[in-house]
Amino acid sequence: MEQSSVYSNVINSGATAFVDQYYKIYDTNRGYIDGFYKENSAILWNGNPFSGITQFKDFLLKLPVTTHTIQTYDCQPVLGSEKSIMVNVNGEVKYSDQSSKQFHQNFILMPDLEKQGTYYVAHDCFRFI
Amino acid sequence: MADINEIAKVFVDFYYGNFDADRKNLRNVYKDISMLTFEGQQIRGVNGIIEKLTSLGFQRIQHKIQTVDAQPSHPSAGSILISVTGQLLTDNEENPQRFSQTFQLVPDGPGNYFIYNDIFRLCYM
Repeated sequence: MEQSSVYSNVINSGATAFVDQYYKIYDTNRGYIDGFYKENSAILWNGNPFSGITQFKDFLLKLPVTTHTIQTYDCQPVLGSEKSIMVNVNGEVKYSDQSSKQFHQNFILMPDLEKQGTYYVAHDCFRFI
Repeated sequence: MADINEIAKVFVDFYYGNFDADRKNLRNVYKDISMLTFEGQQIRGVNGIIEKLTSLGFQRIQHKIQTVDAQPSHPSAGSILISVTGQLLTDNEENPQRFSQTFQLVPDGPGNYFIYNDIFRLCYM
């Protein structure tokens, strides 16, 4: 995956680290996925809104075992909230032994003021395509 | 404030309607601080963005929108995050290609928005 640096190398490397870690935890250790979110994170999963990570985690834990294969991801800095990053991911997800499905997922990562130097998922919008 | 799903629908109709009719018309929705990441290529500013969009190698294009999701991205600033998935057909191509596109719209005077963030990708199986 090529990453040019018109916007910012910091943003590119932050997005790379996030994408690597997020789907690794999702596929292998989903019980810890809430560590990426906060209670007020805004989540849409295939059109369904979740009010907060607790409800969303309950839902995710009911999904079969997953394998995500990331095809592309892009990132941009976000206006209005300093140091926030928009990350756009396309890839395939395989649920248990079903055939792979194409998905698109968009995140906004915001700096976590309680844990300096870290980010959390403020927005998450997932779609099968 | 109008319902963001309503704003997203109006925006999506406007954007893809103009894209399919005459891409130059989209000049009004970008600014010098706007960003477009098109198939991984990062472009900043309305001039570069319009140059990119108008230099794409097809004469005709038709977008068919399948899903539109909207979220307030920064409530105090009134900005909106819009995620779109759909299919597109170019020229005489018979097989549609799937795409995803995400925008962040930022208010620009009463009732107006401009595109600050724009990320476009074709999706391959």
